[in-house]
Amino acid sequence: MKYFIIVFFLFFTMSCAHKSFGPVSYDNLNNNKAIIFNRSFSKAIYKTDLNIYGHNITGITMIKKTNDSFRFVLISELGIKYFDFEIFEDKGIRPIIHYAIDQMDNKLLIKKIINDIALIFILQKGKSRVKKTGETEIIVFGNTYYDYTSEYGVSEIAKSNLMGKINCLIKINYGENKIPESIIIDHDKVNIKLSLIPNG
Amino acid sequence: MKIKLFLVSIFICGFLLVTLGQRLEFVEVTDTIMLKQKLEATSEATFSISSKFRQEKHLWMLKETIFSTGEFIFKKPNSIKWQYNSPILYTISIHNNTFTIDNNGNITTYDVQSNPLFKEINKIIATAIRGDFINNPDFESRFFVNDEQFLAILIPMNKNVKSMLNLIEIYLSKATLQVDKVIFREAQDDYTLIYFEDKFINRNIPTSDFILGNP
Repeated sequence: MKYFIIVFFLFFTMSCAHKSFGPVSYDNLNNNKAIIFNRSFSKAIYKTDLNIYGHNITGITMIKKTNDSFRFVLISELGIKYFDFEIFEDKGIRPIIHYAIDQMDNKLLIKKIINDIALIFILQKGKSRVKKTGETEIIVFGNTYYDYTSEYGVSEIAKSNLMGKINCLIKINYGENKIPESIIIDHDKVNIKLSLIPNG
Repeated sequence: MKIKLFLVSIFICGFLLVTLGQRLEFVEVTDTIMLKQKLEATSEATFSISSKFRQEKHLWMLKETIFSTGEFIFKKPNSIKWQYNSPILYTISIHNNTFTIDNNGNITTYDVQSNPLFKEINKIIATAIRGDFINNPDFESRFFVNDEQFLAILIPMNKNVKSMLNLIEIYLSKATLQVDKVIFREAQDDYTLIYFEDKFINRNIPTSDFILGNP
């Protein structure tokens, strides 16, 4: 019985491996697909709803592209700055916390928020695998999955934990010029909703 | 002749610049007791304020400014409403120890005590607008004057406020002692500037104006 369980477990886990994914890609074709803010993006402002463990914060986020990074600044409607992060396209460079309001300066929480937000800015490099379902391609870089169509670009990003369970899910809708119109980040009890303010 | 006219023009421009500069330059008020008494009297006599406002959030590092506009009402003792019309529709009302937010039609009510961060932010802003800064232990104040305005500079003493703001500049009309503009200066040289325009003092404001969701 014991051996049966072990064999069954091995068989089960092997069958769950990403057999349906295509071969590992070594070119950068897929890297260029896993992009949310395209090359022409310079800046935008978003109405923001942030829900952290039941506490709701609303405000306005400015996202601005610099040479090799994105600045993500959230302020309250009344103008008080909540935080100011700089996230680099190169995921090897650690994000910089330029400012976090004292009341939110919980290192673990801030790290979680930054890591989630970083998924929409970092450029993926390295090996990837692809699974095609109709028009949609699921491109996998390590434990990060991108749902991509040639018409809309990346509509969903999912990141799994070591056990393979999706713990962060990001949904993206695009507007004019393929700039994200809405971005919804769901990670356990931290939810972030960004809605583009046109001509903001 | 042309050179003479040119030189005269330069002289006039220079004279105007120097004169205006002197008029607008602030000097420290020596008799603060008298000014404080006047400010307290004005604050006492102000039962309500309604005004339009323009808000500019200057993000120095990003070299960007976020502009907002809306309407503001205040009624004694503690009712305040900020109604943002641009760039987003958002209203926040503080009344009877609860704050209600109308976020584009979604109305949520909270107990003021339940959100210490918001409570602190609101307290600072209310202090600046209502002129409650005289003898306020949370701030050290200094006063300046020019031909048109008084300027009160408030330096936060309270730890919670200090963590958010370096100082607050409150510009008051010399004629009416009402607030014309407020600047909240933060770390990193960022600041928020709020101009109050089309002000009405002591106009009757019904209490129902602070209750959101009313038809």
